[in-house]
Formats: sequence, structure tokens, C-alpha cells
Amino acid sequence: MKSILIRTIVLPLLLLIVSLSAYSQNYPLKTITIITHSRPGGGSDVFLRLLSRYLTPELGVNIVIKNITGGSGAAAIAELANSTPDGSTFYATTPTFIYTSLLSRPTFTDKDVDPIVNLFTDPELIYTAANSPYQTLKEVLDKARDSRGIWGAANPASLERQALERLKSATGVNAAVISHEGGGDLMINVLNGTLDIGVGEAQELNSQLQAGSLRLLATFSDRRLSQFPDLPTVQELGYDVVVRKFRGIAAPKGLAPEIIDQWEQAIQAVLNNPEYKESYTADNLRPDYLGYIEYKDFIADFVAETEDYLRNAGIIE
Amino acid sequence: MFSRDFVGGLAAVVTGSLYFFLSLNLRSSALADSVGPAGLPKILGGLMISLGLILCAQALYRSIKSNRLETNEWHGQGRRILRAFGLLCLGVGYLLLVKTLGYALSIAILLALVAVYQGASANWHLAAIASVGAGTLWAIFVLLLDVPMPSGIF
Amino acid sequence: MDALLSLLSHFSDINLILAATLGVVWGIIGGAMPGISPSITMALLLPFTYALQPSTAIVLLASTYVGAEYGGSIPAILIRTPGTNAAAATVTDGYEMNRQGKAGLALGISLYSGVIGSLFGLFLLVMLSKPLASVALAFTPPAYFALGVLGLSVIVSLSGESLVKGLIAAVLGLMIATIGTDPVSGISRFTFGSSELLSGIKPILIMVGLFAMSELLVQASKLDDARVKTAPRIRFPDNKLKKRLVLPQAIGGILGGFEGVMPGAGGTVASFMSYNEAKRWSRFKSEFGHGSPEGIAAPETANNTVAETALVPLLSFGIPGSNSTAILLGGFLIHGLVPGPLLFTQSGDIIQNLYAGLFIAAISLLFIGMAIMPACIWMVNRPRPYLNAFIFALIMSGIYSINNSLFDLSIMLFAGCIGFFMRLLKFPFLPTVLGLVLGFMIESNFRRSLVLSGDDLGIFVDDRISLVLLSLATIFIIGSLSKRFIHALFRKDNGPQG
Repeated sequence: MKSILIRTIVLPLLLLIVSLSAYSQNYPLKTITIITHSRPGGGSDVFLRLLSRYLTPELGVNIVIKNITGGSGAAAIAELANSTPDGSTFYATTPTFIYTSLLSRPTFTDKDVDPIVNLFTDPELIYTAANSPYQTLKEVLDKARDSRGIWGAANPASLERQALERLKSATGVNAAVISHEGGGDLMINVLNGTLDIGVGEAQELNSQLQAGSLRLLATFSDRRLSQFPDLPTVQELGYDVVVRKFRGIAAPKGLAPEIIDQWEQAIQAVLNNPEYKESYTADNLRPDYLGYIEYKDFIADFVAETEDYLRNAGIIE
Repeated sequence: MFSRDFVGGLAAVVTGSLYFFLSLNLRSSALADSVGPAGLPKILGGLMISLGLILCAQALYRSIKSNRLETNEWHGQGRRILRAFGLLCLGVGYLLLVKTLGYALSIAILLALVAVYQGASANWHLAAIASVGAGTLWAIFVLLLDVPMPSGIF
Repeated sequence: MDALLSLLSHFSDINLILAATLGVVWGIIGGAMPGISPSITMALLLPFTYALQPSTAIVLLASTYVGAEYGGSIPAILIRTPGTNAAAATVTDGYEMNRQGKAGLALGISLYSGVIGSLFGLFLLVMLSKPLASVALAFTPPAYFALGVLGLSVIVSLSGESLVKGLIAAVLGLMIATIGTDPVSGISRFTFGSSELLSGIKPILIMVGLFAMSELLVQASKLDDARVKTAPRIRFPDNKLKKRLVLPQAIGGILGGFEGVMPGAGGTVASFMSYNEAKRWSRFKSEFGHGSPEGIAAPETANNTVAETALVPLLSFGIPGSNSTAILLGGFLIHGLVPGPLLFTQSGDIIQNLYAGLFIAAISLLFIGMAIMPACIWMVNRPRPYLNAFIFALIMSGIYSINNSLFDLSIMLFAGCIGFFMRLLKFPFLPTVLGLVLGFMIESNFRRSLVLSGDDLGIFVDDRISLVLLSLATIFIIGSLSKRFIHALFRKDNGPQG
């Protein structure tokens, strides 16, 4: 009787404890905090909450998500830069924090934090209304060449605006790029035919695409998307404009290399988790893993490119 | 001489000029439209200045026409402004202290000081009300609404 | 009829009733706290909804929105502090009634109108979702510009004694609205390199500063306590008054219904426009600004209607028109639901539950509102030193909560000083608030339209909606101006106005 008890309950329990403690030996802390500048329910927030569900067992820690809004991301960066680099505090990166660092003069900028790993890029898609006359991007560009194109981006100083302005100069067409107060505002003006095209992330467009009221024309990604295999990239069409709207993790400067290693492994494992894969594929997020070294370079390039663009456009000095 | 309207008009002229000056220095960007980022600000600044001048002129016209000094209009206002300024100082004091003392303590002090400033007598009754009030606010904002109020150095 | 019958079957669900009631209670609490906007109130609940059934979660969030839009009027009436942006239109007459000892009636009118607005908005949402959705699509940039101008035309009639002073106040509001990122070129205007100012100054900071903080400063400058105590009982309007309120409520409901579906317009614009329209069409115009029951009924009906019809673009297009509906969208997404045209066919059940939940929320709003009112009135009847100390502490806590920012607090205090001097020099507040709320919408859509048309001003005439709205604005302005002129002609100049 006793031996059965030991075999069926105590042994597995012991095993579990051993394996759990192995995990906690791996990661020096029990609870970590990931900061986001997005409000609860916003893009980065939804992304983080989903990620934490799968990352928790992988790292063997509890994950708390902390929303620090304000100052267009500057408050969140300041919080991160001021925290101890002991592997307890992280930040969900998006291009927003680079734009804010460049557009204003916050006390802490992207230079004060350390990008660790990248997980995804959100494909930026060019779309038009389903009842518009444009079937391909070429037709849109032809119209802009013959008369005048009217294109829309969600915000005045944003990655989407930058993408369209670059497309405009790469093609040399005559187009007005109209900025809006967010993706919703923009989509309405595409749907009602005010604009020829708009640019948005797949996630925002999902419901309209399913309903058949929008048509995709091209993507700014570097290669074709698995969800839309027939959709050409802008690069394929002959214009060298590639946009990578990244989603990754950053930490305060000075994080121990072991912890960075653990993050790299955990993130790679999470991205291969079939359940998570199914859920992020449905959201049209594209896995785009970058380790510490590559990500650092990537961000540095991104900053340089963005700064260049903002300066040439005269938005900053 | 200096009626309320005249002072108001003057304030408008000053505000408008300052704003107009700032809007002259706005950068213009290659992405700007024909109106430009400084377009509306310049109009608003100009509008503010001219409206201020009109108000001043109206006030002067009226005081010349009625031909008497309107000193009574300002009678006792100086003391009033000072008393209001005192309350404002309490608010600014809170701003300066809250990071150090923490939310619960600072808000209790604010409650007590404002009540005394408004004529309550400083006794145990006041202390009790201030601490119960601070406790209630702390419960609402920190416990219930989960606001990360400054916790202070203690 | 079938739709109604199938709706009825959802009312028996105890979870929905609980969720709707709890949502309303939570919403009233959050809405009544100055600075805690409806969207923050909803966002605070969001993490708790992950574990709930999708429809329970959605009903909980939507009912919170309903409760919060009503809750904002309580501090507006009782302590001159708009709890939400939209409640700023209620402050003028609500607080005035309170000062006359009629706080119970003012709260009763606001509750009664809030419930009517909710029910009317729900009716629009359920029955007229499709046509209203097409209204949202019909509004292009020139039409938004014209809508903003129509809103500003109100200033001529809201300016009180001196039109020049009203205009100065309005320009001040427009100036504040230009702070932040330029809507077209993206450069930073008047931010002085501060990232706190990059996304502009939140209207609620200015509103709380102008109305509430300035009132505290004014009260601190006087030593006498000239309040009339209020009986701690909520009073609903009697039949005679109810009849009188029908017109302002109809105005509020219709304007709220339209503005709710337009992204970006929202509750604040609806409240102010219906306040003004109610004044324009009222038989008792002179009462406005001095405690008119209609001045409470119109904006309160409007902002509660908005809380319902704001769901139209979200449900029909998946487009959130405001911060609050953006949170609701988050709630949908977290449960794997994508609002949009297909939601009706794929998860029709959720929609039915949402409608039923909103109905329960509107009804429970009535009872919960009645239940908490005596306590609220009791609180504002405390001796003035304690009351003012508590209001001050409440404002300082609430404003901090918006972004956990001391910077926001200093802006609010500064706005309080401006408000104090504006009152001293007898400038009206409402034009400033209107300019602040509408400034960005007017400027960005004007410039956007010109970019669209290639700098052809004709676009404002070619767009039918814009043409109609601009003509209305012109008629209103000319009408109000000529009224002022006639008034001035027939009145002897009594020397300086005091």
C-alpha cells in the first residue's frame, strides 16, 4: 500500500519539484515585469498578454504586464532605463519608442536601453476599398502618374507615413499623403472612396478583409506572406521600399549575458510552440526572430534610417 | 482707469503676441501642406491681439464716456487674489512633497492644511477627518483603482 | 418583433444581469472620479475579463461605459468638477442649480435624462445600426471640418455679455488645442522638446482646472459661506417639468445618436452642441447659465446616447471611434472575437447578449443612481472647509491617475489660475472649452481637405454634408449676431458692466 502511494503520488511530485527547481535555478527571479506604453487592450498590450501565457512555462517565471502610458512612450522608456538590470524588468519594443526619442527630447531615449530579442514583424499592407477601380498597385501608381494620387496613412509621424513617402519618391509619382488620427479614421476614408489606398497592419484589416470590403494590393514586407501567398511585395514590383514594423523585447543596459542567453532560447522555443503559432498566425503576425547581436544592429539601422528620413523631410533638425 | 475689461484686453494682447512670436519660429517640414503647421497659430495669434485691442478700446471708450474712476471695481480684490494664491501654494507644495512623503501622508497633510486655510479649527476633530479622508482616497485610488501613487521614501 | 422576442430570452441569464449591474456600479464610481475617464475605468476592468465568458466580459465592459458616462455628471453638479470630458457641458447649469439648493432635482434630471438617453441610444443601435453606419461612412474630411465650425458657431450665443470677451476665450481654447504634434506634417508645435506635450494637452486637465480648481480658488478668496443646503434626497422632475424636458432630450438624443457613430466626434462635442441647441430652441432661454433644468437634460441625454451609438462603428466596421470603444475592441480581441461585419453572422449570440446586457444596464442605472445619491448629497453638505479640502485632494488624486504624472497636475493647477483670472475679469469659460475640444478637429480636417483637393477651397461646397453644415453655421451666426445687435440698440448704455 505504502509503496503504491510512493510510486503514484510522491515520486511524480518529487520529479515535478525537481524539474521546477531546475527551471528556477535557470532564471534568477520568480517574477518579472514587462512594461508597455500601450493602454490595456491596445496593440502591444494584447500581444504581451498572449505572449506571457506561453512564455511563463518556458522561462519558469511569473510575468506581470505593466502599462505605463504617457509621453508617447517616453514614460515607459524612463521607467525601464531607471530599473535595475537584474533581469526583472523588460519593455515591449515597437517603432513608437524610436519615433518619440527622435521627435522630442525626452530624458531617456532608445540610446539608454538595450534591445534583447525580436519576435515578430507586423506586415504593413497596402489596401484599397473592394469597390474601388484599382486591382493592382500598378494601377494606383499609374493614376498617380497621370493625374494625382491620394494616399492615406494613420498618423502624421509614423512608420506608415514614412513607407508611403518613400514609395512616392521611389516611383516619382504625384501623390498627396494624407495623415489621420489613427487607423480607424483612415479605414473609413478608404472605404468611402476618399482615398485611393491606405496602409495598415494586417490585424487592423482582418475583419474588413474577411467581410470582403477591402482588397489588398501589396505588402511592404521583405518577402511574401504565408497568409496571402498571392500578394506581391512592393520590392517585387520594382521599388526598393521595405518596412519592418518590429515587436521585440528590450532591457535596461547592463543585463548579464546568461540572462540574455535564456531569453534568446526561451523566445525561440515559444515561437515554435504549435499552439502559440496557431494563435499568432491567425493574427497575421510574422515570426522574425533576431538574437541579441542581430537585434542591436537592426535597431541601430532602424534608428539611423528613421532619423535620416525625419531630417530629410524637415520634421526634425 | 484700468477697468476689468481693459486689463483683460491687455492680457489678451500679451498672450497673443507671445503665441504669435512662438509660432513664427515653428519649423516647416517637407511634408507640410500649403497652410503649414504655423498657418493656424499665426491667425490665432493675430486674432488674439486684435480682439485684445478692441476690448481695450471698448473699455477706454466706456470709461471716458462715463467719465469717472472705477476704483471700486478693484476694491478688496488684492486680498482675494492673495488668499487664492495661498491655496495654490498648498497645491504646489503637494506637488513638491508627494514624491518624498508618499501619497497617503501628503494627501492627509493637504486635506488638513486646506481645511485649516478655509477656516476649520486645528484640533483632534480635524486630524481625524484628514486621516479618514486620506484613508478613503487611498482605498479608492490605490486599492480599488490600482493607481501606482508615489509611495515615498519611507 | 422576432428580434425583440429572441432578445427577451437573454434576460433570464443571471450572469448577464450581474455583469451589467456590476459594470454600471463600477462605471459610476470611475466616471465620478475626476480624471478617471470612461476609458480608464474600462481599462482597469479589462484584466479581470480574461477569465470570463466572452459575452459576460463584453457586457461588463459596455455597461461600465454606460455607467461612467452618467457618473461624470455627479461631480459636475455637486462640486463643479466634470468627472468626464462630456460632463463639462453639464457643469454650468448643474452646479448653478446646486447652489440654489436644488441639487436633488438636478441629479434627478441628470439621472432621468441619462436613462432616457441610454434607452434611446440602444434603440438606435439595435434598430438603425445599418443606416447609422452609412452616416459614419458619409462623413469625409470637409464634412468633419464643417461639423466643427457648426460647433464653434455656438460661441456667439454662449458668450454672455461681451462678444469680444467670448471670442478671446474661444481663441485661447483653440491655441491650447494647437499644442502637440502637427496633424499634417508631424512636426512638434509648442512642445519645447517635452515628450509629455507630444500628444497634446488632454482637455480634461483644462476643464477640471477651469471649472473645479478655479472654483476652489474663488471660494478660498471669500470667507463667507453662502451656500444653500440641499435636502439629501434625489428628486425626479414632476410631470410639468418632464413635458418641458422632452424637447431638450429629443435634441440631445438625436445629436448624440449622430455624433456617437462618427469616429472622433464623440460625447463631448455632442454634449456641447445639444446644450446649445437646447438653448436655441428653448422657451426659457434666459434661464440657461443660471440653473436651467434643460441645460442638464440636453447634454446628459446626449452623452448617454453616445455611449450606445458609439458601438455602431465598432460593431459594423470594427473601427473604434473613441478611447472607450478602443478598450472594448481590446476586450473583443482578447476573447478571440473580431468585431466587424462578420461578427453579426458568426457570433450573433454575442451581439444579442450585448444588446440585452445594455438594456439591463440602462434599467439598473436608474436604481443604482437613486440608491447612491443620498450619500453623495450628504457629502457635499459637509462644512465648507472640509468639503473644499476633500475636493482639492480628490482632484489632485484623480488628475494624477490619468498618466501617473505630476506634470499633468501642474498643467491642471495652471489652468486653475487662468480660470481664476478669467472669472475675475469676467470672461466666459464655455467658449474656451469648446475651442479646446473642437480646435484639433477643425484644423486637421481643414488642412486635410485642402491636401485632398489640391488647395481648392471649392471642396467645402462640393461636399454636400459640408455645404449643409456650413450654411447652417452661417445662418446661426448671422442670427445670433443680429439678435445681439438689436438687443444693444434697444438697451441704453448703462455705463461699465460690472
